[in-house]
Amino acid sequence: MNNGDICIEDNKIVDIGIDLGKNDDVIDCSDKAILPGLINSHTHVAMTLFRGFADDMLLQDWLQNKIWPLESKLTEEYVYQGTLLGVLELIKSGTTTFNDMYFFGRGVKNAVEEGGIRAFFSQGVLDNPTAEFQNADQAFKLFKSLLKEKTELFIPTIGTHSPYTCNKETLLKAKEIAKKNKSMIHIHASETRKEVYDSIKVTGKRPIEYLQDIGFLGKEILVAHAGWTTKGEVLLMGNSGAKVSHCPVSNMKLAVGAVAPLPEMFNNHVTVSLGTDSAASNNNLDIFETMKVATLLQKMHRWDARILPAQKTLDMATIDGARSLGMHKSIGSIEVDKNADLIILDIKKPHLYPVHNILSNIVYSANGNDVWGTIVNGEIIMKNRIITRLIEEEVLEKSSTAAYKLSEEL
Amino acid sequence: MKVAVLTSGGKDSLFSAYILASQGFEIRYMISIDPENPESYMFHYPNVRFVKDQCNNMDIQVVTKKTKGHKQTEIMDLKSAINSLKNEIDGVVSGAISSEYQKQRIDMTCEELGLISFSPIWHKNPECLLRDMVNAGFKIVITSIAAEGLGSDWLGKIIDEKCITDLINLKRKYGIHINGEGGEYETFVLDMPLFKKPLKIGSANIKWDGISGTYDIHNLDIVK
Repeated sequence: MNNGDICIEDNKIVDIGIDLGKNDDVIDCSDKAILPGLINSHTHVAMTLFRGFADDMLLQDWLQNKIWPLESKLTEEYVYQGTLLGVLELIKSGTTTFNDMYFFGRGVKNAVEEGGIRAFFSQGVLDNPTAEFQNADQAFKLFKSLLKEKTELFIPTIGTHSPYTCNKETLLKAKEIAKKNKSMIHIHASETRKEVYDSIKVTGKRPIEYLQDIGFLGKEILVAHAGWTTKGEVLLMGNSGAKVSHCPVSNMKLAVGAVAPLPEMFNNHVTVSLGTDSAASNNNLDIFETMKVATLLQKMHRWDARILPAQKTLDMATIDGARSLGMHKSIGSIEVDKNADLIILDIKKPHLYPVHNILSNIVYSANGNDVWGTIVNGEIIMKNRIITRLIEEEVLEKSSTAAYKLSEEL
Repeated sequence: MKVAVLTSGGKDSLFSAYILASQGFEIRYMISIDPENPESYMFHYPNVRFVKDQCNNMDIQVVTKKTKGHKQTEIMDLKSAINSLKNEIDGVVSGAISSEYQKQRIDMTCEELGLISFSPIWHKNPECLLRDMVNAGFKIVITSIAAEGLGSDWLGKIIDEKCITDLINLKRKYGIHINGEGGEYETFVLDMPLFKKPLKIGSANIKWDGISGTYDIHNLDIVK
């Protein structure tokens, strides 16, 4: 729509049209585009603390010698500081909802509530000890405890880390707890070659086949990555209703070697959304950049510029993101009665002119710095690039102090 | 990047080699697996003995490994052939397009040997691939057929634009894979941009059993 108005009351969009009349608080959006807030469906936000700490390394070396040792030193305070930095970045680059998988959920909750963003927090679950818990049962207890603190903007879910770090018993227990609490489950799978080969050696099956075989796959499951998936595995995900979070920037940076078979996923009705993954493997949380990379990667890989058009790419970052979190009835598009999660893009900029096709400019030309305003659940949390609830300088200083302190603990 | 290309002399492996050579890769070796069992799960059978002529024509050394062509042993034979070159190459190239059975086994073998598995035509549109091959100057002869809709007149046919249109129509009618990746047909490359000179079939023999058939090359000449 050109030159229209969107009327918000409390946290809802109540009217969309032309000349809706005077209201209490008017944001003049001349030379701007209003979009549904972007949804980042797979990330580990607190890992902003690790941004630039270790790059250009082989994956196993990077994980074993850099990332995991740092994570073993984490505390709730570190997670809070890292998440606050990430929340600041997310709001400034147009993300209104993110799906986190990490530890120390209270640290995440505090940061999320201070920033005013919408978050799904998947409580990390692993069989082996982490900085937060000793085993999977303790992780499940943490989830149940967090669930009591659920709010409209902070939704705890279960984050079984992967099929290679959670045994069959843990995965099935997670499924049972999720069913009882009507929660979704967030899991990494089929990200790397090694993971797939190890799975075949240990279980005789590829990761998605294995998850199906043990009765884990289902409509409540969101699989992060799923790059190394065969057509048969795509069919299993489609039939079970499992969703995929595609993280092309992280996959390319970590050189995982596979390009996720998105056309096959679409053909099999798998909902595919977009994730940045963490700032340690991306190294930012900008979904505009992820949209562009996602479509360029498919085009390049398939030698077909038609393969992932701009509209579908934007859908993956908005309504399909909402669908992947079971929130498509309340967020992900600009519709009356939906929650007002919106972003305002400043389109009067050289790299966004002329406007032959606004959709094209959004997907192929824009970046997170073009976001002028961010509204979550009806509240303006950024206007004219000024964050309303946080003091930006303070967040930058405190989080970087925390990051340097954590790295010195190694 | 130094690589060895797994080839049976057919279009997909040689087009993969050409694609990577066009992107700065050094094709160090061709690896040819020669199965005694014509029902091999992994490796193409017809005319594989002429791979050495293609390689001579590109000044690329060929490593040939015999295999009994049984499901359990042929992957070990492949691994042993790659292993013999592993200190001289960074990766292995295959012409897989959509056969996950083939690609997964090659990927795993490479991982175990610490090599990179390259499949430059993986997941590409089959129609686009065939047209690209023809446009790139590939002269491809059909050397075996085994699919409904493909009669004996296809044996010895050179793939051209008309042939591609016919294959697209057969795909619509019978659901065949346009590139023959389901074993519908096999090919042999007589010319491509990495060849110094085109190859020419001296004589060949058609065998046809009413359902499937082969076009067995007896001898190849280099076009002067």
